[in-house]
Amino acid sequence: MASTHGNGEAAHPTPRTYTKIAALLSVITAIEVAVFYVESLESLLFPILMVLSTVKFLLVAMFYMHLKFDHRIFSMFFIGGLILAACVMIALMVLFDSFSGSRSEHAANSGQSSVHGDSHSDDQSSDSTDKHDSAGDSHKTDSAALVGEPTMSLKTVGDNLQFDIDNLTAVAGAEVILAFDNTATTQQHNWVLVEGGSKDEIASAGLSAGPGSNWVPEDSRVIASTILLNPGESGGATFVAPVAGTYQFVCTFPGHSPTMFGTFEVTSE
Amino acid sequence: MEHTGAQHTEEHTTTGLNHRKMLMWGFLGSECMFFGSLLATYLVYYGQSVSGPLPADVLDIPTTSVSTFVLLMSSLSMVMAYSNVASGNVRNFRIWIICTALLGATFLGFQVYEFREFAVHYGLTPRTNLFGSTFFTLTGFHGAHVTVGVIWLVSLFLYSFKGDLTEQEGLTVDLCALYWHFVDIVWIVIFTVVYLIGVSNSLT
Repeated sequence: MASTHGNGEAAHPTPRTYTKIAALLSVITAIEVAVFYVESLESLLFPILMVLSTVKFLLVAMFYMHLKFDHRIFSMFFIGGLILAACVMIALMVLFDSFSGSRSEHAANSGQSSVHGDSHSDDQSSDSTDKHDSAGDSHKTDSAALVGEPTMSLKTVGDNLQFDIDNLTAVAGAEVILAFDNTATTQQHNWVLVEGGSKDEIASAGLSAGPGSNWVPEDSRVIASTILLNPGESGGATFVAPVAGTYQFVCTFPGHSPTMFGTFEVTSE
Repeated sequence: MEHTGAQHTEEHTTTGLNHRKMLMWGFLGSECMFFGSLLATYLVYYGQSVSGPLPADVLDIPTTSVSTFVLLMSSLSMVMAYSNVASGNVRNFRIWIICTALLGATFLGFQVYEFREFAVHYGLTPRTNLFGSTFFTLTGFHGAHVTVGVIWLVSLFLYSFKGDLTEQEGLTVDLCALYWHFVDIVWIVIFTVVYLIGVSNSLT
């Protein structure tokens, strides 16, 4: 086993070793699938599976692809490729913001970061209050223009499929007057407040509701919404903030919900 | 003269290592990036599909576990074929290499069944949603690699009947084996990330 051949290569393992490794690989795969089905391990699933599949990966590369016994330069080719692959993956995921939960975060950073957060202490949002006096309405509430000063306002980030704010806050039971300004030049948008975690389902359901319903479905999880605003149009919604909890707001126009959403916190005090 | 490029234990290259093998490892290194970017694309769009079906609706863990096992076993028969050619046992080599090709074809059969099931029963095609597009691109390219591997294996099987496959030719088989194991490794990652972790929703 230890004798070295030419070509910088030591002798390969015996068929017996190969069979043992195959047995080991099978056992690890069985454990992986078993772990998947054990509910109590759910929180640990990700780390366990990553470790196990890395072990499998290494076993195949080291023994079946005999990198362990080959010249180092071959390993370097492979490891080099893997490192570059990792860089490509990280770069792609950073580019698309996959590591942060909210995709609209950078919109807040690049746009009106000062409005980020609590919009009740609301002098920051005054820049858009004057834009919506011809305002639209909420399909849940009256169809008249917004009455009174908006308690919060947001707009789109130009033609990006993003809201400029990704986090709004209200106090439970308080009347909320929201002003929404569609600053896009080509896209229609709406603003829909939904139960936490349901934005994609609501958006899917909105597809079947169709444009006649402003892409907003009849669903108990929809709390408030504006009408569909044409490019450059302003509108809003007036509603009473629901019970304390974490909600989401989203644009339900087809295809917009993956990036065009935010969190709506309702506090009890 | 036509055999100048054939295998010798001492290679007359600057590194003293065989060029074909070097090329194969360079190729596999680049394949890492290829599959890495496809996997990253899948992950970037994970959970971003506007409409279903979603991974948890369609991915069938028990069936895929079986096909994963089949592919793992094909790696075993591949090393067996290789170790037989290295020890000059051409008859056993043929048995193991055709075994490997059959196991590879079985894996492809599972994949064809899976793709068909998705399209017919769930209406999931590459055009349906982001999950469909990224899933079919990733696993489809892997399947294409397996297909190439199966063709390569069958070619080696047929080649062995020409009587040219001597112990010296171990490298010819080795290159195919490296490719085949790499395809297996890629599946190890896809099965874990796309199937097990993806379906369990621990990515969100």
